[in-house]
Amino acid sequence: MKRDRLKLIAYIFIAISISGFLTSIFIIGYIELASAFAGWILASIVLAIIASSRGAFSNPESLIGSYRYIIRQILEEFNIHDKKPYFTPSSISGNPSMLIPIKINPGISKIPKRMIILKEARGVRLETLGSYVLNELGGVGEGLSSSEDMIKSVLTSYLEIAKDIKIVETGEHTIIVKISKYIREYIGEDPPSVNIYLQIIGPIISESLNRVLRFEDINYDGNNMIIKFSIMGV
Amino acid sequence: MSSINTLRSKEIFIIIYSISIALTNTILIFLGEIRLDVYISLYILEYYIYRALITPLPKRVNRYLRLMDIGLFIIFSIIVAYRVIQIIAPELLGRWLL
Repeated sequence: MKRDRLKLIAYIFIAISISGFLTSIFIIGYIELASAFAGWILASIVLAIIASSRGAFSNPESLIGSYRYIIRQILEEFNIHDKKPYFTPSSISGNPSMLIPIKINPGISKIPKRMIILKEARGVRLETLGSYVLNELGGVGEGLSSSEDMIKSVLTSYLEIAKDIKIVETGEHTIIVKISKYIREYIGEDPPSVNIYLQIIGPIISESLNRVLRFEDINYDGNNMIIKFSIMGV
Repeated sequence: MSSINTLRSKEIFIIIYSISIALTNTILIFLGEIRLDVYISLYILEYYIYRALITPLPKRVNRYLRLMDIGLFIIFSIIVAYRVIQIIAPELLGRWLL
């Protein structure tokens, strides 16, 4: 919607600037004014091109939709779609991952590649979109502010599926993430483990803190989504 | 690494380019320049400079801008050719324009 409006503005600019250019050359005969309109034409064309692009993804709706579908299928197959996920840093799982447990102990030290059938943990490990982003960027800096910066650029600029992100850590080893103006269509009736926002945010925060995170709950407040994690092993 | 860090490159491109056009226009008007082709060729040069400096742009933007590159190159070539002919064979230009 915002992009369409920008495109419309760019087209209006092009029309005004072309008519201004022609008027100043052929009717008024004022070259300085014509030159200003010529510059305006060029800038408007560039604006129109930029406004017509959809960023890095040409069709994020279908990409995100198919991604959610695949994740939901996998989790339903294992009958763990209603389980609360954990997020693990690369130090214990090779790559930052989402862990859907059947059973897990906080003191877990090493996680195999896909299925976990260990004494201290049993479940499924998935590398999510957040894991992909971390691999693509070569990791994230230490601390919540680094993860906030990265999540903000991924959700607001790259995918354009949120307006703003705020991450705070409360005294009880709890992390609260507030996502402003999330897109409802990208969540639908998804259980938390399929939630696209959670899958991006979880691995990034876990990696920046180098801690296992446990997803606690998710609340919707108007246009805002509030996700709560607790830090494990503290 | 670069793809996400340069997310806003398209916005930077349009902002810097618009400011440059406005500045160029103002400066040339103050200098008393009245040749339209000088203004346009400077705008085109600035466009190519920012095109080279501000990278990478998203694929889709790049594809459309490539068309603009070609269009502006043609306009620039016409301006240069016009100036060259004006110097080496002005009578030819006079004949063509009349």
